[in-house]
Amino acid sequence: MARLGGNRRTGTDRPVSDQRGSGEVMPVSYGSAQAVAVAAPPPHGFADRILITLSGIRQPIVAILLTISFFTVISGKPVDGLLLFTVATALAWDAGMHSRQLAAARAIGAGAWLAEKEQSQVSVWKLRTRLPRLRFVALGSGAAVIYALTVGSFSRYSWPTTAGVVGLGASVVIIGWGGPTRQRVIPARFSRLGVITWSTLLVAAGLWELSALLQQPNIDTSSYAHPTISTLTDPLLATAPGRAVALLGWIALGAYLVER
Amino acid sequence: MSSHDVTVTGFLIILAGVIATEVAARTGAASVPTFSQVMTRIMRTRTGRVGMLVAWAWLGLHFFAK
Repeated sequence: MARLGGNRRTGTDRPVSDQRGSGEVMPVSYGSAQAVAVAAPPPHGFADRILITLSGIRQPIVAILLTISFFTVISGKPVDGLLLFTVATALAWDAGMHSRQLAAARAIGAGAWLAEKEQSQVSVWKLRTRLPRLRFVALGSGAAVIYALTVGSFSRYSWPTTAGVVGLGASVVIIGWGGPTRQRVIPARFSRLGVITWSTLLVAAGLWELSALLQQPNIDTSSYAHPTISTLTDPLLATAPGRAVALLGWIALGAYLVER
Repeated sequence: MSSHDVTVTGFLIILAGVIATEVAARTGAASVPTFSQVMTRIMRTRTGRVGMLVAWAWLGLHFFAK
């Protein structure tokens, strides 16, 4: 996985080797023949590693994953929760080290380089510049339908369904770790109104779901009076066609995210 | 109105809010980004990208897996 997330950049840059063997190395004179390598300060001891990880929790997505992992554990799925917690911690570490690298670059006045790096299309995949060809879309859609019908034919929470979902989910996460799959325009910072609007909707949805969850008789017994989204979708997921439709929707969402 | 209806109505109001925001963003009625722009912005870093994809994978696990 570490190789997938390396410093390789398509175009003129080549991967830069880690000269200190401890952290990420970056060229400061971007694109010049005399690139100066500067590494993030390496962590010193256990306490420093904890601090780096804690600093990564400031990333909203990491905080959200940790919250989900907490509720997954208290909902009676400790293994799922532990897996999620592990990934969230790894991401917090990654984000913390990235912050350290940015601070090191700022200290030597490489702000412009940082801005360019943020906008660069760093990926181990060959970036597409246009939409996938129609025959690939048709092939992918056909495979998705076959997958959804096959996995959906098994009952929920069975081993075949679990294997199918874990296999596809893990594959997509590994693809995502390698970086984007196509060139895309990164939007500039959003207006305050935009941030507040989308954040409010996300927080409202989370709190409303949490409120319904906490008003159940207990954490793993659903309630008709206070249905969560899971409870509301139970009738759909009780039938094989319903599961197939839901799986297709899940795959479509995954494909959409991979294209971002 | 029963508490069941209140809960479902709450979810529908939030869904309506999402749709209204998306429409406002696409028509330019308000200076808010579209959902796609939000996702692209979040996923510009490895942390954001992997985090979003893990959240997506968790959805599948939550609804279908043991």
